Amino acid sequence: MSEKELAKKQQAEVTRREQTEEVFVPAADIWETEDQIMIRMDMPGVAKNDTEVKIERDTLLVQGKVSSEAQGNLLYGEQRVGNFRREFSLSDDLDHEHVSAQMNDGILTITIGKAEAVKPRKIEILAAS
Amino acid sequence: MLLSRRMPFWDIERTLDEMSRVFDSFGGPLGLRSMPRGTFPAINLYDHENEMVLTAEVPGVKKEDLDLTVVENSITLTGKRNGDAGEDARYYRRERPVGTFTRTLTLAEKVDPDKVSAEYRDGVLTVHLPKVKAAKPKAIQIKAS
Repeated sequence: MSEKELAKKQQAEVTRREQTEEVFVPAADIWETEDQIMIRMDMPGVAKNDTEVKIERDTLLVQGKVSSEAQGNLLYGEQRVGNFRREFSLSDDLDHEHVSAQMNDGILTITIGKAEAVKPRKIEILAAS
Repeated sequence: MLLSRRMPFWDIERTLDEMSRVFDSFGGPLGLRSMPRGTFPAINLYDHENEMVLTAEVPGVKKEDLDLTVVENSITLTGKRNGDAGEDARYYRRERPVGTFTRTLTLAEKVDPDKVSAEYRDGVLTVHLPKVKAAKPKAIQIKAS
């Protein structure tokens, strides 16, 4: 590829990049308890109705929009606005039917049950009679 | 362009996200990709004619764990965020900052500390900072001699 062609290609990429809308990834904690997996995500200022949680095959998708209210002339800005999206792939060890989500104080908590087969089982010791 | 004014470093951040996506994509039981970074809490500051409005993203922080101090034109927000999983929890990923935090901002204009008000909703703290009278624009009449 000649230098000129390369420059042209880079220019095209730059242009395309500016057109695509920015999608950000919200921070998440993920942990496991005895019988479930918990995902907790920071979503300050996001309305419950602007958030979508869905499962497609083995993918858990969380997406939505942070609406930027016109609060006056912005002097200084760190907060992220626009669309957010994050995907998690679910293993077969998880019960895809038992998923619940809750939004509270700007935090989204998703609870996923573990499949019966992987839950710890206590084995009772029988006394030989 | 509105976007680049809000996030002057969004392109860098995007590159960092892209990098961590490449390097992180192999690890983690749930196949996670990128991870955000930054100072906690994220703050926005807006200007109005009579007041300035500060918003801080403090999701999961209890109202009673937040402390706000205003001295002349300096505003300090301190607080604490608890890590809330139980002791028997086994973490796969911890991206959300926990612990104590302090942020101080120096405002361009003096505000009246007695009239400052704050509200907390959906993990966002909104602080109204009324400007002191002297700082408001005042039209001066030019007299003819």
